[in-house]
Amino acid sequence: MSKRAELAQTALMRFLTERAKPVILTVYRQRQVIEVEGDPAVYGFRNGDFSAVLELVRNLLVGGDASRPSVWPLVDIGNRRHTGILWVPDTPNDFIIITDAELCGEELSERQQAANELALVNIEKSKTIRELKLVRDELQAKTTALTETHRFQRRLVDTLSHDLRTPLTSISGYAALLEPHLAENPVTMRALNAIQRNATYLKTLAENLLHLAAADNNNAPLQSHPFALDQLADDIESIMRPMADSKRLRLSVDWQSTAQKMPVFDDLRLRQILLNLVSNAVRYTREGRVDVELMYDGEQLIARVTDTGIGIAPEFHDSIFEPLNRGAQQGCEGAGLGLSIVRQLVEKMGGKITFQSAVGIGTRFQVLVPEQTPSENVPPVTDRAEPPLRIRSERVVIVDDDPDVAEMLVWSLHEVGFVPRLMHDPDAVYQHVAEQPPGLMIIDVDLGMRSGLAVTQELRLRGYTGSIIVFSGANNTNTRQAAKAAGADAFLAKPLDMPKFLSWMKRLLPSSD
Amino acid sequence: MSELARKICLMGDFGVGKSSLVARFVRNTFSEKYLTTVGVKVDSKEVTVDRRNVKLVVWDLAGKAELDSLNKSYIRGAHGLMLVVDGTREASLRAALYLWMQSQKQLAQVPVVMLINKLDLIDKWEVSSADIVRLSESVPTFRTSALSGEGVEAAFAALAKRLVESV
Ligand SMILES: Nc1nc2c(ncn2[C@@H]2O[C@H](COP(=O)(O)OP(=O)(O)OP(=O)(O)O)[C@@H](O)[C@H]2O)c(=O)[nH]1
Ligand SMILES: [Mg+2]
Repeated sequence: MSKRAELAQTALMRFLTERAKPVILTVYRQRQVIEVEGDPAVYGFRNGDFSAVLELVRNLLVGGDASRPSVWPLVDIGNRRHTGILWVPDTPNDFIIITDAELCGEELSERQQAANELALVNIEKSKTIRELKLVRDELQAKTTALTETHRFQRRLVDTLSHDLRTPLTSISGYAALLEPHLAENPVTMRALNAIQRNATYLKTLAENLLHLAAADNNNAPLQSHPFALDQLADDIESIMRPMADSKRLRLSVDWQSTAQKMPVFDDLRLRQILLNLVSNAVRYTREGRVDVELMYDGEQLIARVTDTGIGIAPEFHDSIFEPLNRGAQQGCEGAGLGLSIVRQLVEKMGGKITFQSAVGIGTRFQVLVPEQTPSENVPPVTDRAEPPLRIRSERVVIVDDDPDVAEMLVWSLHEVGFVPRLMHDPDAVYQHVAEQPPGLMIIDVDLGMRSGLAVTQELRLRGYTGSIIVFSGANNTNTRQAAKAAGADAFLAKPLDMPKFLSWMKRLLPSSD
Repeated sequence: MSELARKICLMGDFGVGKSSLVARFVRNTFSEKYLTTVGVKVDSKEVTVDRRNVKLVVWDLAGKAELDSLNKSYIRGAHGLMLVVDGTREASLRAALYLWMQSQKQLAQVPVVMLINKLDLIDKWEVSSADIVRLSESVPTFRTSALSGEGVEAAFAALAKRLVESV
């Protein structure tokens, strides 16, 4: 070798030695270290104790061929110290060469740790996003449910107000019948008048309620169809007559049509508009008259309500159509909804409402509504009442160790005809299910000792094929999903919604009787 | 000296709990902290199978979703494989199955067991009972928790038994 080459080799060796910090052990039969070269303290081998490294190499050689050289480039020798280990067999002694892999090990370690942690975070993140999406969907479902509730309420109000109207009409009718017989007695007459006035007022309220119910649903469509104008006029008159009479006001309702056809409007709403205007007029007029005129020319309907009442002061002209505005006409005890509803309705029909008023002289409201196009028939909202749960002789097992919840479940199941068996020890459950598999199992996820999902999984792995409902206080999508993965057919959140619970029972139990 | 020694390799995606299972099995310890394994860490434990002492040499490999060249060289000569899945990550099941497939090219038919780990987190599991039933049809499958220790001993014992039987 040339001098230069020798020089280069020495330099390289020094460099490598500095970098790799090799320790060369001469060993006898993998058990005994005979000679040491290098600094073993670098690797934590102190006081000549090499038992750990000998054990490690023996382990590394298991499954391999100790008679041939081997290399393990990156081995964790504890305390996160990384080495490269070489096995060089020879006779009579073998060599173990330990090199420092820290340089690459440490960097790799950091990089791998960071990368893996990042990946784990990303997994969690996507789970969270999935969770959020599900939460959003749930919210949407809840909104839908709310809309349902709303619809129900609307129907309720609807029915209520309809049902109110009928008896009220008969109250005013009979009161009118009584009138001639009581006219002599001023006390009873006053009482009768009061009855009539209030009945009329209640009727208007019922109409307004009806409207509110419909307005709840923003798109409550108009129900326009041809109707008889004289009928509407008669209705208004007969409804308002008692109230006017009791105040000794003159009420006239006139109608006039220059068209050859019946007007097409939503007559219920039209009626409501007129009732509100006329009852206001009667209420705010102490003496004099209230005149109602209806005019139809085939293209539009004009309704005018004129009174000789107290009038509306100019400062209120801008606000009389605001809801719950009571200042406009003093002495009023209405719900303050009438005029706002009137305007809403008129606008809904594409019409216009205007008024003129002078304090102490009177007020005239004029409504102008264009002819409507007839509506298509809207199917009525049908009740979707659940048929009652039929009682079956199915075996049901409840697995729960919370006595309160368990008792409630047992009780509710009794109510619907089941005689459930209550258990809480998982092992007893497995045995019982193996012997007499029930049709349905209801399992609490939050068992003290063990997750109900582990029990569910175990049951499925043991071959149980019946239905399983699990329920849990942790109502998140992870748990829901895990419940499904474990083999549950349904997941219910605590506190249990009994109707939902029973409907699941119904769905999951085999429909054989 | 004439004791039987058997090399088993733990494979699986990163973070599924391989090192934790080894720590539970060999030292009966557990740590919440995640310290990724770089390269390989080799441990051993004596077990008795059918009144026969066996030294299990456990190779805890760095977790990867596929077999890289380093791990390929490390599994050479293994007598058995332990595939580890994180029950809360369905993707890790696919990774384990893929690793298994890749290792079959490398290894002769050696006994394999499958561990679905993190059983204590059952409320977050994605791996389904149906998956486990299907898996069990082709490979002995254990549900384990390195945290609680549940199933760990049984899984190692089952693999050890098959290693001894295949001697
Ligand atoms: N709850 C729970 N956590 C566990 C379990 N097993 C492991 N872990 C945690 O999961 C994380 C990863 O565990 P490791 O044992 O380091 O995973 P590994 O498979 O060795 O990971 P790599 O070395 O990167 O491949 C750690 O934070 C552990 O504490 C378990 O059974 N239950
Ligand atoms: Mg590890």
